[in-house]
Amino acid sequence: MKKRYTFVLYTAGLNPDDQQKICNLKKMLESEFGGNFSLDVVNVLENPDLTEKRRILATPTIMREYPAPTRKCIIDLDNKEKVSAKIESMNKEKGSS
Amino acid sequence: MVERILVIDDDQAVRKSFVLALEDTGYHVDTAETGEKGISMQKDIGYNLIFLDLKMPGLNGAETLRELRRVDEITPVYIVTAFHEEFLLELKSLRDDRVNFELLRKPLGLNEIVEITNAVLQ
Repeated sequence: MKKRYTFVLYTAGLNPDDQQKICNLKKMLESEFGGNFSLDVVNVLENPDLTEKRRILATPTIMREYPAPTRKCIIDLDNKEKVSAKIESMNKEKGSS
Repeated sequence: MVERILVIDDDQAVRKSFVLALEDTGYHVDTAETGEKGISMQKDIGYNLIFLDLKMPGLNGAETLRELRRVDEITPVYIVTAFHEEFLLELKSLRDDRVNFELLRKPLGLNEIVEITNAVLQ
């Protein structure tokens, strides 16, 4: 079954200590979308060409790839409240900017 | 309390562009033309956000970051890079050594400088 919401998190690589931040992010996505989402994590140091293709300005950036239109925002993985607010706003935005 | 930003870059045009972009935002912006000076300023003054160039004469960006992290592990440091292959290994080495940083892709427009600064500090 196709996931309704697909997200990609672009990072500058992750330390083992950062895994908890990813878990927290997944929990927030689950809170907003239930189980109806997928999250891929991309290390831009391993995939530098993607920063230009996807117009990634800075890390960490979360991009909603589906549904269209794509949305992306720079987030602070250390700040749960800010991340949660940004995920909510990405979900509410309709149409192109 | 006014948020303080430090721009460490040997290119005067780049330092000026950050100052110009952020001059009406309410943030206080200082600049340093060398890594050594930037480290000294961080020790003496302390900043809420640091933008750091990677390729600089003398102490390069990676070396500067390692020294910065000896005194402060909290302040967000954004390494400004064009993602050239020659620098990726150095960045990976920093990551392997658990030196925290984030990346900012250049070239940067003035609006993009404001966008990233607001995203980090607001």
